[in-house]
Amino acid sequence: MMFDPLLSSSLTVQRQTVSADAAGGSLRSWANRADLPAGIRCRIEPANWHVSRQFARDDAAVIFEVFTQLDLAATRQDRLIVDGVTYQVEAYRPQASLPAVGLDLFQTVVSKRN
Amino acid sequence: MQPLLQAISAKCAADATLTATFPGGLWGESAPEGTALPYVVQSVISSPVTCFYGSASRSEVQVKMSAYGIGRAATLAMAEALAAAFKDVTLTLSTGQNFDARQLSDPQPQLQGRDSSTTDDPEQGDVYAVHIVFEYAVRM
Repeated sequence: MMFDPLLSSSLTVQRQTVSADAAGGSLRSWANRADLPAGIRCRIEPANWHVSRQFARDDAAVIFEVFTQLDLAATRQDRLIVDGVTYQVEAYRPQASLPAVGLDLFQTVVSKRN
Repeated sequence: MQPLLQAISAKCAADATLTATFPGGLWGESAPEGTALPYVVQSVISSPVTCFYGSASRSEVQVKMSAYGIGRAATLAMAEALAAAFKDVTLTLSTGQNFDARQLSDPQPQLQGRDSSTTDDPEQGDVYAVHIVFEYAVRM
């Protein structure tokens, strides 16, 4: 089965480095993960959403599912840059295979506030 | 109440330091969708009427101003600018008179959560709210 055409987006995985700021708060900086290539082909689809009042601001918090054929081994220390847009990693499913078609897929659940 | 809240908004809008520090602006209770950090949210904590004389009254209005930004130290520094702008500053009201103003609390940081916001800011990180309470004595 030709699955490649469905992987119409590309992503880069970044991992955080956390340091303390002058007042003891955490500061995050981000760099591409060296163990993964840039431009990994993927498919991203919205899964669900809810209205969020975090930060005294009305936002829609949208959950997306990202499918890749490469094992990202992503954690909540990572974020994904998909087609230039940043998403926070929330969960990772190591293997979401489609055995009927002999296809290995890896699923990352990410979020974004809109 | 409305003249006081209008005066607070007007002061924020007219203060070049505050507009530069908080490009997201000042909002009542909640910032609208898509407002970029940092910004300020103000809310009224209490406004008891403490004195009557005929039709005149005096109230003590406590207003909480919360600076929202990324990073504890950075947001605390921004909140200090807010405190400096409002501490002991009486405001000119469209009706009534604000004859006393004081800062009731030092800036108090509170972690709000991790931002995964729309801005795709490379500084994406932990969002803090820093709260300061001011009290205004208003004669109406």
